[in-house]
Amino acid sequence: MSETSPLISIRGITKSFGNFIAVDNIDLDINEGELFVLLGGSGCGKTTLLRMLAGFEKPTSGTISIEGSDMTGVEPYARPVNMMFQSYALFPHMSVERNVGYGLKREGVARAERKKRVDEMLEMVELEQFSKRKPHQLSGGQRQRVALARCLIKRPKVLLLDEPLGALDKRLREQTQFELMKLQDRLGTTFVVVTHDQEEAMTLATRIAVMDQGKFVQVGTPAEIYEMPQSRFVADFIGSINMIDGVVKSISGNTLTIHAESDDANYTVESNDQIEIGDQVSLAIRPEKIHVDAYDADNNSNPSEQKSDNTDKTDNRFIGTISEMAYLGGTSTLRVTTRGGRVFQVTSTNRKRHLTGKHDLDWDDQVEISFSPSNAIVLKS
Amino acid sequence: MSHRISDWLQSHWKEILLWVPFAWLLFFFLTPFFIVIKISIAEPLIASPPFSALLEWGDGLLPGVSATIDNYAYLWEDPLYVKTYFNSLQIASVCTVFCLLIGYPMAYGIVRANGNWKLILLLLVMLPFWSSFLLRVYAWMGILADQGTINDVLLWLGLIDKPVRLLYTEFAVYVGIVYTYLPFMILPLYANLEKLDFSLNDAAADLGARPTTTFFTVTVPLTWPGIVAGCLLVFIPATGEFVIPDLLGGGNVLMIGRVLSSEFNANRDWPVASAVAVVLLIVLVVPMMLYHRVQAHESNS
Repeated sequence: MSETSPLISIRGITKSFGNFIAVDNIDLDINEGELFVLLGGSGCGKTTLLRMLAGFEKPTSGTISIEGSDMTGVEPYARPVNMMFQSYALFPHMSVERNVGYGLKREGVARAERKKRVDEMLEMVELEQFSKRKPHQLSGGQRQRVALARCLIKRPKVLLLDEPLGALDKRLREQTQFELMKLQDRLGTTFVVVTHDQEEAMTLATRIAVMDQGKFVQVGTPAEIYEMPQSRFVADFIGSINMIDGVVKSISGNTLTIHAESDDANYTVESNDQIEIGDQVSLAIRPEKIHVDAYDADNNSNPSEQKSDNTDKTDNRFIGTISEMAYLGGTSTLRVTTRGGRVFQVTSTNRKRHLTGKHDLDWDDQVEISFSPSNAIVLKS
Repeated sequence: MSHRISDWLQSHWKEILLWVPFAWLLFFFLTPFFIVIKISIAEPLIASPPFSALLEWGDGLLPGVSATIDNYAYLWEDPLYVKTYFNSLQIASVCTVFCLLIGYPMAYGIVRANGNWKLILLLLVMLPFWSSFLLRVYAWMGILADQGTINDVLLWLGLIDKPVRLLYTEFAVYVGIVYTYLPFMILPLYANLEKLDFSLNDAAADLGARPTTTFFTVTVPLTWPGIVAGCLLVFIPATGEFVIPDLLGGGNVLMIGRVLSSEFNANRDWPVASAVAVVLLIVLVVPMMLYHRVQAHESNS
């Protein structure tokens, strides 16, 4: 935590609708200048939490304070936050200009000053020539920028964005992601973004909170969330992962040997967690962290150039067959079935061009897969 | 041959379909209207029918035309008619405003009510249509009479010593018209508010607008077509209303519908009655054109 007090401080916030608890006793601090992403599936409570920050929902219990002042009982129109709605909620009867100027007019900003600031803002989002248009005469991307401009012109302390890119097509979404980040960097405004799209979250966020059933499952940087998930839920939710259930058989230092009953195999993994022999654990390994090499059954040697860094005896090496393969251009996703019968998902980078259409690796090829103990994650189940 | 007919039907069925209601209106609206215009420029006679013919077939080849604008001149000269027109417009305007003031919050409430309640409330708005309009006006006579429900309750409460005159006053006419035409205000407003995206209200609040500002800058402009439709649906029939001023207003309230009726029935002066009707129509065509323009505007955007 930084030495300065957090910009947003959420303490024990709970919101229930009848018997349904949408947000369950959440504590959170968000610092100034962060791009904080609330990530979760539908109905996990992320939007409710955002709406409580904006003041549209009253918390059942708990407090929210912004810049040290308690927001309980403060109406939405008096909060130093602005929200960009999922549907954009542009006023259909007003021109772009009047939509953007609406918030300033409510503040009582004089006409000339208002005009100047609206023009500046429209220039920033590159919509100067559309100022007289009505929202229905704009494309989806343009509408999104109007919505953004309408919020930012109020110079809010915090900008809340509800699925900001949800209504855009994939190509535009990727482009807009970077524009949002640039804008946030330039203005220094704190952004709180709600999304269900993990890729979007990973790209945008300085920090992510993964939500499930009204609770935070894990809060951390994108890298922490991806590389060090603290639970099966997070590991499963973000990216793809191979999950191996087993029992700890031996411990030496921080190296554990885990025996998985289903394929009767031993796995070696490093962990600094408090784990004892006999514990039920899950071992998780990302598909791109598994090496795959062609296996030469005759001399039983590995021709791979990466040999040097994983020839250690404790390596997790398994012989298997490629049972499925998807060529994705830059990478290929393989499913390798080991002799023990376990299926590993493996991502391999296609470094060489395959002009003949024949890959190094192909269906039904014998391969050797391996992963280093430090690349696997141990999750207590 | 039959092939040709079916082909023709195939390619023109849309036009045919549109022509049916059009022909209906042409025949059943325009024909009587021209008859009324014809009578309004005739002279009254003590005969059957009680007016002179427009065309006199004499010896010549062409018929002689006898038309007069005396009836219209008479309406203009007699201050009673001018006053009655203005009185009708005034009563209709005031009733329209009251219907809007009562109807808008009701429509808003119905739209914001949840599922089952919404249905029940809408049903309650339409419930009066299930009984005769005349019957409901008679019921109001019972409520407003000197020995009626309101006076009975006020007497019983000791708030008054002798009955207050309610029936056969302008007040009774206002009550009757507002009561009768309220559903015609609520239903178009409901239809309009129902389509309204309430996240716009949240957006306005988020941008710093207080609830009243939000209402006047977002909700009202977006429901304007509903407001105009509701107002015209109340104003137009209320101006020509006959039953309510006749039964609840007695002889004390001058409205053009009653004057028309007495010219026609009591005085048996069909030409003047027709002139009254034609002028009323012209007076009402203006708001009707307005309605049309707003509707056209709405369907454009």
